[in-house]
Amino acid sequence: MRLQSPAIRDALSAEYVLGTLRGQARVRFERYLSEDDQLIEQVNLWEGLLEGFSSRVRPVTAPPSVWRQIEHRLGFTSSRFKAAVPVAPVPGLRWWRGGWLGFGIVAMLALAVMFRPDGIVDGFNPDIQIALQNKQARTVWKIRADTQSDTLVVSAVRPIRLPEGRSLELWLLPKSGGPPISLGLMPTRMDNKYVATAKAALAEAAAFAVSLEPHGGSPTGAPTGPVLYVSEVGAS
Amino acid sequence: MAEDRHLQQLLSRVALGDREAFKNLYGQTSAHLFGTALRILHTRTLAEEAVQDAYVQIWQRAGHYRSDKAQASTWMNAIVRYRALDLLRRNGRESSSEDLDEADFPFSTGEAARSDLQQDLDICLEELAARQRECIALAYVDGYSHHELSERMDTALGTVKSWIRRGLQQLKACLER
Repeated sequence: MRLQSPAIRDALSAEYVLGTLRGQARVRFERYLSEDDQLIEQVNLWEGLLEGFSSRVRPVTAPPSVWRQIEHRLGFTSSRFKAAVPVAPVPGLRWWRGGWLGFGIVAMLALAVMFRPDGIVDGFNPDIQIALQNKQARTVWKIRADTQSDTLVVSAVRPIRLPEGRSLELWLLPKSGGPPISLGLMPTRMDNKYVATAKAALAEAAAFAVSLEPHGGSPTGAPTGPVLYVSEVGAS
Repeated sequence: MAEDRHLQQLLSRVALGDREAFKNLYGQTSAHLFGTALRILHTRTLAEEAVQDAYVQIWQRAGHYRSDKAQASTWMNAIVRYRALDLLRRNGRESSSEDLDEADFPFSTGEAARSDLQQDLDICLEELAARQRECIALAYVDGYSHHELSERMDTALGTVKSWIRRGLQQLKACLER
């Protein structure tokens, strides 16, 4: 079911954002929203138009119990990153979890990503090997890294099925707290390898993450999720 | 709130499950979100619930945030406002001893750096009739329903509804100029 009239779509979006769409009408509108991407765009437009009102609100510090409750509800522990368990299943995707069995610090910024045929990479002497495992504890990807030449080789050990039109993207989370840096797409065929070469001054990786993205990778340069895998490095 | 570019960066790390980034994001935005929820809900317990729910959603949905579609602050504001409106529906606007006086939460004024968004909005609001302007601001900021506005303005419900409907369209035309 879909709202048809453009005028009604616009008027309802506006009053939804304003907050005057109430009761059953609001619930119904949210149902429309859940299956109508263009309607979401209309709502986003109004959110942007009326955003100026938000600056009229005086900030009020929330009591510390609010943050504690949030941590409690999200099951946070002392670890910085959440466990490598998917938040919600994606149909048709094989799930995997397990550890990047990393050791030491992988310090690299991979800005150029290219295919190479299976085989040799010149002057590549990996000093770090990481295995990404599925929930049956079988290795799905191997990642080898050479911190001298700042080169990273990612290879698929078994074929990986992805939903139509999606890709998996590998991210590096710098220790500096800066935004995630894309390391390129994860290979999904056994005869593919990804080779990434660092081009810039090296930053220390706090963690790696793999997210499911539209085909070809995130359109925004930041992960759009869902995140399938996060692993902290340097814990050893 | 903090500079939006910075919030976007934090959100992109939250999307990857970075708890420290999430805590940082909370530190920089929660006072604004709590203030927003208080204005709509008027009671601290409900506002705290709205803020908790909002951050749980922010954590879970950070991967859906698109920096090319919306500012990070807009995205987060929408989450807490909609949650507050949900709670309003569930709880009604019941009077309680916890009720906060509106005077406790004046509109902030005279800030050195007012955002462009706010300036544009203020200019466009000027083009509306005073009561129209007041209705729209009360609805957005304080969560007033059509009925509450009709009572407060001592004006027929139908009239209030059409003020708002037409006021919003005028605002849009002005803001998109």
